[in-house]
Amino acid sequence: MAAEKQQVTEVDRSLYDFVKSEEGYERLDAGLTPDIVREISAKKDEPQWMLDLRLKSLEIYHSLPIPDWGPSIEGLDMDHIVTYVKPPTEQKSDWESVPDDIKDTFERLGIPQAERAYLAGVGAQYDSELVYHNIQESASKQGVVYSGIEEALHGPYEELIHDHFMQLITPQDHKFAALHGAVWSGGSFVYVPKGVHMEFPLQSYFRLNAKGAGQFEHTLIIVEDGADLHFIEGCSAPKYNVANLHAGAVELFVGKNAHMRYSTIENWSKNMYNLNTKRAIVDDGGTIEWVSGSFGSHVGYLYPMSILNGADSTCEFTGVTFSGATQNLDTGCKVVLNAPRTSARIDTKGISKAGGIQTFRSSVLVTEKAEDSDVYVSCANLMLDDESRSDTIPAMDVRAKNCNVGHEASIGRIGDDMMFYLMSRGISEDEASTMIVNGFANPVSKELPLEYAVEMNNLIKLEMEGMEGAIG
Amino acid sequence: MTAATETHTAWRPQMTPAEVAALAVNEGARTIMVNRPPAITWHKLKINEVAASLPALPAAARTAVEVASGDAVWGAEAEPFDAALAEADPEGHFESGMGAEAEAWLSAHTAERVLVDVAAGEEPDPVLVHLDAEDGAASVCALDIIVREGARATVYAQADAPAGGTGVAGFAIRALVGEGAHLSLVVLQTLDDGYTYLENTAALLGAGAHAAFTQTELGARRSLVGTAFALDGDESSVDIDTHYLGHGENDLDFNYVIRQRGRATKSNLDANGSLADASSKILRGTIDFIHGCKGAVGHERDTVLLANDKVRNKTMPVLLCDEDDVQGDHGASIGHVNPEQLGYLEARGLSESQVEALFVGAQFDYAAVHAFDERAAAGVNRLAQRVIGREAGAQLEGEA
Repeated sequence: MAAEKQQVTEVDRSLYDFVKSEEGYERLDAGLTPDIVREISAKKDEPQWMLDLRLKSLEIYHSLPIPDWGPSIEGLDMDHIVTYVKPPTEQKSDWESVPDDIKDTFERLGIPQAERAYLAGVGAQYDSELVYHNIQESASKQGVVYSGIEEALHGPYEELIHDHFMQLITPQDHKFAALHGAVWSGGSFVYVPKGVHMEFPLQSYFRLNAKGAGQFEHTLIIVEDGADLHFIEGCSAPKYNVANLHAGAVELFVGKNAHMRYSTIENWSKNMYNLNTKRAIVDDGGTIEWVSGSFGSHVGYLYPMSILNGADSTCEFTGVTFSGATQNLDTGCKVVLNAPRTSARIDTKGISKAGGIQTFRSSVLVTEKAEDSDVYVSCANLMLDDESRSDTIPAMDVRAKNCNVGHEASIGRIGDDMMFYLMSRGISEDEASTMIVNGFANPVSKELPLEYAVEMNNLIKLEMEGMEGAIG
Repeated sequence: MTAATETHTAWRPQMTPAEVAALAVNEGARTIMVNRPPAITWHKLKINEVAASLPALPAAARTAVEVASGDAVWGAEAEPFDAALAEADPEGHFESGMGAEAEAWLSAHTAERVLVDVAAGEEPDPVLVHLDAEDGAASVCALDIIVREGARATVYAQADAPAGGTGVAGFAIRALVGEGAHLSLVVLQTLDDGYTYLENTAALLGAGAHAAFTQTELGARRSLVGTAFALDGDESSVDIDTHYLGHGENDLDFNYVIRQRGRATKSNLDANGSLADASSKILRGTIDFIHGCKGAVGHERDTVLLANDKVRNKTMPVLLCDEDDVQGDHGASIGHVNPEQLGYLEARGLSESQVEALFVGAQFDYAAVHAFDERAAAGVNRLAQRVIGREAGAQLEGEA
């Protein structure tokens, strides 16, 4: 097998990599000060408790160290990050009212089309603010609430939000959770009442257009007992030659015997520092499913956490991370089994190429309460050339006797036998390697709605362009 | 932002060189940080390293270390090994599993140094080294092993405390395995609960060299075990076979670092253990495929039986991979007696607690079967009597 190694050429990302003018946009000063935090809060006319939380979070942010166990974030200078950029529009509920250049952005990304075809509701955030939010009437009639979180703060759900906001992800968790608490802006609030099964998914899409800015949206979802929701999250940004930052937060509350699936296709530009935090807590008999595809960002720290707090609750995590040139993606998940007969299944795939660094990191905690529980973690990593790096760093802490914890991981490259088989049937080397990588990522794409699976496969194809000759 | 940023592969610096140098002077109680893996993770997990608080103790008398048989130099200097190391390792790859702070502390408390130096092509009789911990002292044996080109060596070492007492005992093992050479190293630890045990191993293998390392850790209130193998030579290989038992409130803390630099190198780390009573264990195992180790293969596995609700087990099996043409895998299996085994044994009249005792006792039985001399067997049996109330290898009372 020809095995000449080479660096991959820069791929065409024009589908995502386009910039719109910022004329008429409001930008706060770069950096982090109490005055900036107060200004953000004042613009949103927030209740006092939220301002207090922001200011306390800022204090905590300054007191916590930068993580020293993951990829370097030396290139991220918070003194040069603009934490709030407001587009010149208010939130709309019909696309025709959205300013043309913003509407054009989301049309190019296929969001309005997706809403018409198969979504029960869509939220679209542009820089720091939601510009569009809408839910189908049929879902509203079932009592489902899907709105901007700031909008919900001023309505009948303020108390509910007060009781849940940053309760799962506290500002003390880590430095960037504290940062989020201080400067969060935008994001969605979803409430699915008891017993309501959403037939179609809801989707939020986050677009960061502003150069040198941060996006800090907060997603809060409450799925009541016996209810069912599939929520899809997408994101993208044009590439700049300065750092951008994403430090969002997702808090999911899954009730008794409820079911929730949270799917993400992350495709930030490759100047992005993606320091996102996601967490779910699950009550008796409930289920949380994470489906995660990570393709973008310069540096990523992403570990969705599931706290199985109710007896018989379950978690499934299915993820793929594709790390290419200039990328250092540290991804994985955390699971806490904290009740009897809980179970978790984690299945991840990592692909690295063209000098990219990919790390799978996980933690599994089985507490004394988790009798008769079981966890299985599977992690497979594929290296597409000898310029790249792939690490696997799992940790397991088991404090219960009657449980079973299994972990398997493997690292290797595409086998010559597979390449030979495909190429001997007339398939080019480039196509063969793309097919193999697609097959490798199939456990993730098969869990996504068809349209998103197609998008993910296209992203893989995009990343594989220029790999000809690089697979050995 | 043209290149991917580097992954941190080490936590904050350990002690400064001056602070480490101070450790090499035996004075006062010390707290040292040991067993840091090459790549760390969330600090909240408390798995990245461990603190060892060591009391002020005099070094034991030289007679705590005995070469029971075989051709070895008792009362050796460090120089012969240092000279061989300088020649074999010009790039400074040699490292220990516990780290610099432990190296310095052990050096300051060494009772005696034993040198096993096997000439090229030779295969002498096995060397047996016994370390009998001295009450109220730090009993450390420095064990230097040089297996020169094409030679074969077998070294057995036991840390025991037949007279009971309290203190610290340990081995500081350095091994060089030359081109085409073979080392079989067996270490057995049967200390009483009054002791803290430190076992720090550093080994470097040349082309085509092979090392088989068997560790059995059965006793000591606290066991801190660090093991590092540098597979520098092409086609060098190591098999590490570890057996451990936690009982009472004992803590076990392991750190394995296998650096595969040579082409077609092979490593296999297989740890098996049982945790009973309120014991706890941390095992970190890192296989590091370093750029250029094409064709390398590495496996690691930790299989743990949890035999009590109060035990606590942490496992961190790490693969670091900077080379595409390798095969690496790791696994961990942590849990209770599996339902099939439990059902089978319960059907034959054993209660669940008896089944648990059977599995715990099996660690002693295994050690007894593999005891390399009478003193080793005696140490295993003394500990078995105290922990499971019977001699190793004997039938459980009432067992079907």
